[in-house]
Amino acid sequence: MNEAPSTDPGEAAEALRAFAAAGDAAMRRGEYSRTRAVLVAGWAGGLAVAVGFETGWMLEWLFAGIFGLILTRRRAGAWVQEVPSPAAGRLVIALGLLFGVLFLAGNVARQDFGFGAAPFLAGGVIAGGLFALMEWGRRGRLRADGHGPG
Amino acid sequence: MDTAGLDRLILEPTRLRICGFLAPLEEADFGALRDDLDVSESALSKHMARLEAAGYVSTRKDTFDGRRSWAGLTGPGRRVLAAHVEALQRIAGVAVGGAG
Repeated sequence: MNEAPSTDPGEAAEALRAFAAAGDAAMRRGEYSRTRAVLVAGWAGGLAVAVGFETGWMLEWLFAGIFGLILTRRRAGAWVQEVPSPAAGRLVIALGLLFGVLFLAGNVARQDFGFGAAPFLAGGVIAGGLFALMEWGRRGRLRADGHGPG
Repeated sequence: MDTAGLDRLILEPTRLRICGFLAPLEEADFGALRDDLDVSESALSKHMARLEAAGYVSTRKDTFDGRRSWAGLTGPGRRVLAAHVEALQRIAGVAVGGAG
């Protein structure tokens, strides 16, 4: 009744193939495209510009992005694990804090130092950084899955 | 043959495929699991109940649609799955590399 589970080499190989196929199916459904990464990065950069200029559409822009993210995930029915380890989580938090500082810096530089282009600069850095981070994660997952950089 | 790490619960093919599907994901909804793994609703529910009872999977109802459920591997589930897959690779490797 309590004997250890066992399997033969042929069954083990077949099980591994089925396991890999299931993982492939999950990646096809749950992995986001490069286009989506561009849109998310653009949204974050746009938000930085909005904060920098204290525009009236800041909140609408913020909620539109959050709504879009939720809708995308619900439609896909699956979502890749973007923060696969505690170390990755710490990196995300650190970058999030850095982006937060950039958000504020764009506003402060414009208001207090008269640097009118600061919000655009902050937005560009945030958009570029976020896109690079998302692409790095996406390519890493595709390589790990054996599909090569997408 | 070294079978250390093999887990009796995930040894079942459908449950292994469910875990394989959930492994790269944060979570997936039951409909995605059912459609992509070609498993019936009742079979999926039974297997998910067993995986959840063992603590390998956690499920939740959708925030906006109570008829929809989402599932994801737990930390212990991921560790057990990793050990199980490693054991399968060792066993399969014996077949591939061993003398005829």
